[in-house]
Amino acid sequence: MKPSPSDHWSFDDYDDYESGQLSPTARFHFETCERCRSAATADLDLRKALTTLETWTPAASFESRVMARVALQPASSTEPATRTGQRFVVSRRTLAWAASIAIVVVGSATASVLWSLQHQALVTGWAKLLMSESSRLVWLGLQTATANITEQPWYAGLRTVWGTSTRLALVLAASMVAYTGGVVMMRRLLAAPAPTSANAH
Amino acid sequence: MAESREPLTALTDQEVVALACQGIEAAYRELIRRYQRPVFSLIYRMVRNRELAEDLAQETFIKVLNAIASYRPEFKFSSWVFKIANNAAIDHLRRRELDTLSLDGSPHAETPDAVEATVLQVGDHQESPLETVEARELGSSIEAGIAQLRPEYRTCILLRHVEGRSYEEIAEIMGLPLGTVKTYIHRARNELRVILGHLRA
Repeated sequence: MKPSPSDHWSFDDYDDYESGQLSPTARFHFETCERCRSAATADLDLRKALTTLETWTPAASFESRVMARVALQPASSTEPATRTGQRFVVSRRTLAWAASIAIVVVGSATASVLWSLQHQALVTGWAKLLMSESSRLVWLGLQTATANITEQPWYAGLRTVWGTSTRLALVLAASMVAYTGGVVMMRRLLAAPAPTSANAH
Repeated sequence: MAESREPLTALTDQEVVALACQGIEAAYRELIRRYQRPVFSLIYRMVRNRELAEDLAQETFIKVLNAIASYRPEFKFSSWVFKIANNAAIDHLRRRELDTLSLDGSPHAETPDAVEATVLQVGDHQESPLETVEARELGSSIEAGIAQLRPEYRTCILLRHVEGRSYEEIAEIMGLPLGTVKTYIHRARNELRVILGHLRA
């Protein structure tokens, strides 16, 4: 029977062949496919040859040259640091603190929600009172501020400045120009070049 | 002191690293001794220049040992070392554009002298120490063949079949998916078989 090309060995079959653990299917294919048999034999020879390659050794002074440029860790450092590159690995103490805070926050929030669900009428009453009191205070504040402004001696003069629509347009235009000028000046100030760092690259 | 503890050679990488993190110099030296040969061999086979390979291996160890405190024990120390070594070699190859060294000289050589300087001479007795040794060794053809592979294939096949690393570790070292690593290694062996067949012919 001629083997199907789709049955040709996979990468893993070559590994299995080397370790003597071929599956029955792969073994059957091996026995019937000349191409795979030839490739597998050559592959095994190559693998064996690769393991005989020599390991090269650096010069005898290699170790001392490396050590001359290595800064030993301070003796107080007893374990690998908890930070690697841009990633943080938190210490156990930090983890314990974070867990405690999380438990307190989540516990409080849960208790609060449960209590609110059990006393809905009371909570609604409080909310209504709070809303009405806060709106009353806001309205009172607005009235007071307006009364204060209208009672000022300069208020009458100011009203004459925008008494007509032309004057009002002029005042608005002048305000816009002043505002734009201010923004441009701020941008220029913020865009001033920062001193360069010697280590930046 | 380290001398009063059990011999460093009997400890695991993780244990030696923990001692290095305490500033024990002997632990640093032990790590260098454990990895200098495989790291140097890998880089040497990648860049094919002894002096340069020593420099890159030296930089690898300096980086590793100076950052020993940032090593995370959940990863294999060997993976970390090989990753830095491989990056050093690949970075160099990319910088110098000597990514593939042909038996007929570098494809990037622009002058006849440059072509002559980069020819990989198998069996010639008037060359650098690497080529001299290669000419005497049974594996000289394989060394020459490996030199013709793409850098990624070279790293994969060296780590797998010369250093005996697992597929998973190679994937971690190279930052590639496991399937890609298996494909690279399989293709590398196929290419190598073709190259060696050509040399025999």
